[in-house]
Amino acid sequence: MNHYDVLVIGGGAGGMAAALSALENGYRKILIAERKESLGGILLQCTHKGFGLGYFGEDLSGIEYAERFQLKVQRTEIQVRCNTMVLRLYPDQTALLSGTDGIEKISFDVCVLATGCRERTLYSQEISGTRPAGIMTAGTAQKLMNVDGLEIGDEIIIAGTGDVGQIMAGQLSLSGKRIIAMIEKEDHPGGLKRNQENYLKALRIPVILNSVITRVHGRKRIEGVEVKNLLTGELSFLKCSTLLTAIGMIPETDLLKTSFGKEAIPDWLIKVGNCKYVHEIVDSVTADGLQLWDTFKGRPHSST
Amino acid sequence: MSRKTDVLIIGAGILGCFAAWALSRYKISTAVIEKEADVCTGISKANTGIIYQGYDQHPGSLKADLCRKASVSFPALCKELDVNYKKRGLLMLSFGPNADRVLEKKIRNAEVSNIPDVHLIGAEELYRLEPSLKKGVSHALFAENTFVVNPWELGIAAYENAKANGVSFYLNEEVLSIRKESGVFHIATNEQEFQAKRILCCGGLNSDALWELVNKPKIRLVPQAADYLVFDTDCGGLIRHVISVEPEEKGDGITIVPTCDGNLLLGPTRRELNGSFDGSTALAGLSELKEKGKWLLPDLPFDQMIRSFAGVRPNPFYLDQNGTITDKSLNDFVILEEDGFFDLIGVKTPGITCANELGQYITTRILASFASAPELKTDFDPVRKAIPKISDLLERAPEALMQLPPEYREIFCRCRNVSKGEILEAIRRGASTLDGIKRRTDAGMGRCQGGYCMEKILHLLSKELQTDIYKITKDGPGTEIIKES
Ligand SMILES: Cc1cc2nc3c(=O)[nH]c(=O)nc-3n(C[C@H](O)[C@H](O)[C@H](O)COP(=O)(O)OP(=O)(O)OC[C@H]3O[C@@H](n4cnc5c(N)ncnc54)[C@H](O)[C@@H]3O)c2cc1C
Repeated sequence: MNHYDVLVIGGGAGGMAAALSALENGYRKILIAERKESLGGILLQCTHKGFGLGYFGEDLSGIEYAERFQLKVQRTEIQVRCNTMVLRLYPDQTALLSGTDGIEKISFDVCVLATGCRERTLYSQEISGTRPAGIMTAGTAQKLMNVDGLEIGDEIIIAGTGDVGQIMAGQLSLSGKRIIAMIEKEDHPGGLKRNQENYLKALRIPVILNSVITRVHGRKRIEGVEVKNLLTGELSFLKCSTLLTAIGMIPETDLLKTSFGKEAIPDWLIKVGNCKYVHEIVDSVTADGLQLWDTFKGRPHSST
Repeated sequence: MSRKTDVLIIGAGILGCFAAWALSRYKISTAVIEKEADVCTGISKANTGIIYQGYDQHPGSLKADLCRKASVSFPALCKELDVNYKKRGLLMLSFGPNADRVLEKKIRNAEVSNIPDVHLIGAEELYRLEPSLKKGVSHALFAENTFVVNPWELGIAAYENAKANGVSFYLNEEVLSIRKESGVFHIATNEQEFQAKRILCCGGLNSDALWELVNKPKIRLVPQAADYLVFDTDCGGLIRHVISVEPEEKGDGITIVPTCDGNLLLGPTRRELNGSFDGSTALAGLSELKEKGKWLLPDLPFDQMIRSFAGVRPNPFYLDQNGTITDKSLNDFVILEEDGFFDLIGVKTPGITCANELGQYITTRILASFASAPELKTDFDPVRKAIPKISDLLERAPEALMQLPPEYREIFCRCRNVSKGEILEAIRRGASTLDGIKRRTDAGMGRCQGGYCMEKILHLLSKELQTDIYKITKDGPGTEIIKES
């Protein structure tokens, strides 16, 4: 069985930083397992700027930010396996990896979970009505547009005003698509100030506050939504043919659930970045990965 | 030129698929016409998926008889078709004297109908079996031989084996008109014309209208909606049996099902519709379920709800001489027959349970209607294998994963660990839509609801079907996933 000092699960910003700092802290044999085709995680679908102001002191796109870290990793002896998913962790410090290279069980001293977060979905909310086509999360829309170069639809409503939602509203509106409205349950839009300035204000994207979507209409493709004003209780109908959702992110820790169920999480496992809690900007995810070993109280590594 | 067939089945829901499977054992030709892009997308898609034992049914009725047979032979059926199922057992709870009497009656039904493994248990044993349930239960009916299954999985398995044994399926084709000329049915769809000696209508919600294309009206279906909530697999451990409540006062109880995949399913409601069913859930229904769910299972974590959906019951009612609907609702299975036209009309619960038995039963009747009854085939191939599931192997035999072809190591659906190989195999077996893949492989069924895999599957479908990506649909024409403007 191949043995590693550190297994890093997930090769996004958090995982890359954790692997780099592991090396600096004296760990030698380090493996990053990434289920996508290349390192970078969610950054790879972010064509917009606003990354790296903290860490690099420069205004980079998500892709550029990812590329800088990919390079850093490449220059080291850190091993990277893309198209590889960790299917399960076992209490005896082994893991089952599955990927185009094959299926392999490996052992390790320390495991870093850097699996990021996922988007909350529409139908996990109390929403009635139909289940038509034309509904997806803002992140999926972003991937389809920015990585695959596809269009997703027009006459768009966005549920929630999370950052990804605002960024997509901006991008879609600049590409000539009609954003009918963003619908926010709070009395103010969510997301970063700078996104609000750059997208909502600058492009005059209509935001309906204090409101939620309560019903979906349309038998085949979505034809509209019912919106409820939470202050007045008033219901209104808004026509649309595409609905994106930006109603929040949830740290992704599924692997821990499938591996350990309700048992305590072993002390050889550390979480980094968005799978710990959802960070506002990537620079703080990177910082979290870099500082990781300062506070790590788990089992000491064996290879030094 | 019209296509000629001995038997033409309208509708490829679970009943159409099982009838086709039963007929595929005989030396006759069978064609199935389905208006949707896939099989099992109608009533057969959105229901509770419980295999009942038959104690709910009037002793002596066709339902009681078929249900009893079906539940006894269900494990063998699943083995034959390689379908996943779980033996859960069902606990029907009573909270007082009125419901106690109902339970006792069901126990008597079971005795009269000769249904094994159904008995009454007291509160103590109940809470030993299910400690998380609300307190105050007086008695429970314990139907130990109750199973759960994914209904579409069962139907798809029958479809695949029927197809392998020579039945032709025509998807995306709707039967529009039927006429009878010198003893032969001429059936026109939106695509072509068929000639058939016999028609078997399994048209679900449309089985009354289809009957009336050639026959005198007899029964009308009144659709009634049913809402459901689905909870994440994390909640699966909360209860181990199917739980249902026999209401003490008038009204509906509630059912909670630990599904085959380990999710919890809550429902159904009973909701009147004004007009036809468009697949909508209603807020009233969802709130009712929440309230009842919380009442029955106080620890049910509502933040683990991943989805809601609605199904529809085809309630059959007799028509009077003037053609108006009487208040006589029909309880037993109704099978209309007129001059070579057979109709399984308004088959509600336990239609999933009895699908195989109904298929055999109706096949016997159809065969008997021919002047000389068709013989059994000698080359019938009974082997149908399920698509290998990475997630199952992971639990049972991780070493076996290594033996599979490389595409089975590439995970597409992160929530359910569904591999590219499984999806490719589903496409090879006829899935052409995103939902078709979901029903065959579970990809997209998990907590992220396709957030991760949808985009990957979209590309794979486009590549494998050699179809423009903008034409790939969720569930048939009009439901394109992405739209170019
Ligand atoms: C809420 C609910 C819960 C249930 N729970 C259970 C349970 O727990 N256990 C159990 O045993 N049973 C249960 N049932 C019953 C079971 O789901 C049904 O009996 C069964 O699915 C009916 O199958 P079907 O093939 O008749 O209908 P469908 O699946 O609706 O199939 C009919 C098909 O005909 C097609 N069609 C219609 N018109 C045309 C046309 N003109 N041309 C071509 N094709 C056409 C439709 O597209 C459809 O695919 C439940 C039912 C409901 C509603």
